[in-house]
Amino acid sequence: MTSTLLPSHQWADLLPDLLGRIIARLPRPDDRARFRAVCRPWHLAVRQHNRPQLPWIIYSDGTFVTFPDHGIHHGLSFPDNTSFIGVYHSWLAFYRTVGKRRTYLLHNPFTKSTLSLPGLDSVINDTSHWFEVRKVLMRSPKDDIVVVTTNNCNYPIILCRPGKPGAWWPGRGEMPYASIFDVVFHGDSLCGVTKHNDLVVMDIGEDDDGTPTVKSVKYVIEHPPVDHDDDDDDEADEYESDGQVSSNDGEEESEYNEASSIDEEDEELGEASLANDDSGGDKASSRNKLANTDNNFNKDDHQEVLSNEDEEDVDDYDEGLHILDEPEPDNTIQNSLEYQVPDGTEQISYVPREATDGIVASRHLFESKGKVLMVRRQQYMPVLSRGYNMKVEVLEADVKAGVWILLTAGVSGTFFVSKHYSKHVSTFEDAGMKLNCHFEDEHDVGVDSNSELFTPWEGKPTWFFPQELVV
Amino acid sequence: MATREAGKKMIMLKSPDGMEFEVEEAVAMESQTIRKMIEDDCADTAILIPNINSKILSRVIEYCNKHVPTTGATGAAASDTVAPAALAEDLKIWDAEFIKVNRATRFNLIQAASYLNIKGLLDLTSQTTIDTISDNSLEEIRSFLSTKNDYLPEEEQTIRRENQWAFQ
Repeated sequence: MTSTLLPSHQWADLLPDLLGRIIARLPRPDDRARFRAVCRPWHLAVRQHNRPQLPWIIYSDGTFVTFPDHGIHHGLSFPDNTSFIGVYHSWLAFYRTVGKRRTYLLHNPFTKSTLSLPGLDSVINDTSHWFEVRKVLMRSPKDDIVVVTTNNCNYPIILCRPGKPGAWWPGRGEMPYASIFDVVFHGDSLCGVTKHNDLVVMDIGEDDDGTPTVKSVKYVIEHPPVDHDDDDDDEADEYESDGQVSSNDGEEESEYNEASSIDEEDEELGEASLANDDSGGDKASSRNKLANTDNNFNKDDHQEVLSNEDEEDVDDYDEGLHILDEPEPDNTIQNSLEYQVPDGTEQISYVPREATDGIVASRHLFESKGKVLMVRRQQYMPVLSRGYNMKVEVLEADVKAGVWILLTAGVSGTFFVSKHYSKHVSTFEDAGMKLNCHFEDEHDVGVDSNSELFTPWEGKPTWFFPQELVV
Repeated sequence: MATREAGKKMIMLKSPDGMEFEVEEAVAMESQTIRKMIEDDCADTAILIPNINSKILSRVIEYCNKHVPTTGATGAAASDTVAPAALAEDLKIWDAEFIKVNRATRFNLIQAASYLNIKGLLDLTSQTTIDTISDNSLEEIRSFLSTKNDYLPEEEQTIRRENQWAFQ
């Protein structure tokens, strides 16, 4: 009988593969950090097999999906008794219900560090079904200021410091805050975009107690009424005097023309998102409404429709409604969703109350290398199946000209877009996926036929950027 | 010589410690490494499996016997009346019992599965290893997996410091 002896050196060749296989199934950077510290061969294996970390999509139960393998993983541990709100980079935002109130916190699942947000707790008193925290952002790199946006026009934007009491929020229904649907940090300032595509820059200072406050607001892109007033010019000039730009009236005129040309393109698609006349008119009327602080609403009506909370809260709602688009006192309010802060989506083609396909546009704000960008997506939404993209375009805020410029030549880097957190990453050039713009719902594998079944509403799929690993 | 018409053809597997295991060719071919040797006519009637001692090899053969497709080779033992889902469930329970071994055996099994390229066994053993690594401290990982720490103290300090956040 003869024996066949396998060459023993193959053994050594096989081991790195084996380790690579294990590493591939340990996507968490904290596991990999410990893995590489076990011994030298394991360190080498991590170096060989750790590819640049793509963001994950995380779900409200801690399930996450890794890319490009679309691997579904479980068991990212959340703090006890918390509900998932959203993401800021490597931080997860939660609230915990204590009695009738909520306490908010940020938690990094890799460093296991937790930041309480007592300032936020003291402001938010809306725990109704409609209430939603939209975004939670921190000012990087110091992580010193937290900005939260909500759909409640009483506090559309809240600023606070992690771990500190005290918070800033605008006056009830105050413009432009109540029409801002998305914000990003731009340097030390906060940029916001309104439903009329106006871009505002909020300079952040602090009061005597160290609570962050918005010191001043400037429109850097504004779609003015035909007879727009001088105040707005002053605001624009103030920004320009920071040395970034200079302009005169003649240039300004051509800027508006440029804005109009974008309008025409939109109109071809039946969209009116940059309609100058509308925005100007609304804003002017909003301001008028604000001036009229004695405007009366029937409290009982609003209590019934808007809130099932205690008397205290009703007052908040009442005053917040002053700015809303349809403030006729005798209008019966049918749907409190109408009285929320706009969310940046627009129904372009839609027949109300009929089961019909629609076209929906959504907008998302980004900061990248000092530029402010906006991604606009038009989605065809069939009644019975998933929507698909008709068009995705990127606009850059041209602060000098005061307009949004449609970027037709493509944009470097990758946009990761989700409702509760979006980020532009300049280092990933098409990361193995077809477009450089990735919407969370396109990669949503939350509908897992075997086990978990999420609706997007409860699953809250959100892009999440795991802690960076030194390999 | 080995042929593709496996039938009841038997293969002799030898461990380095001198034990011989006679297994059906179909069972042995659960290992892609052995399959390739057989298909390439590299294998004679006996195949020496280096680095896998008789204790581990017998467990690997036990696994392959259980997981070999039930058509043909295992003959009467196969039951066509059992629904595939129930069969899969049965295998899952069997696997869970099979992997309840001490850490040294598990480590040897994962190495054997890797070397012999047995996908199911590799998945099973890797997963238990992954479960061990995930969420455990460095010291626990080393102890569970009986892995030797070959870092110098100052090297280990550096490597921890590079990702300090993971060791807090």
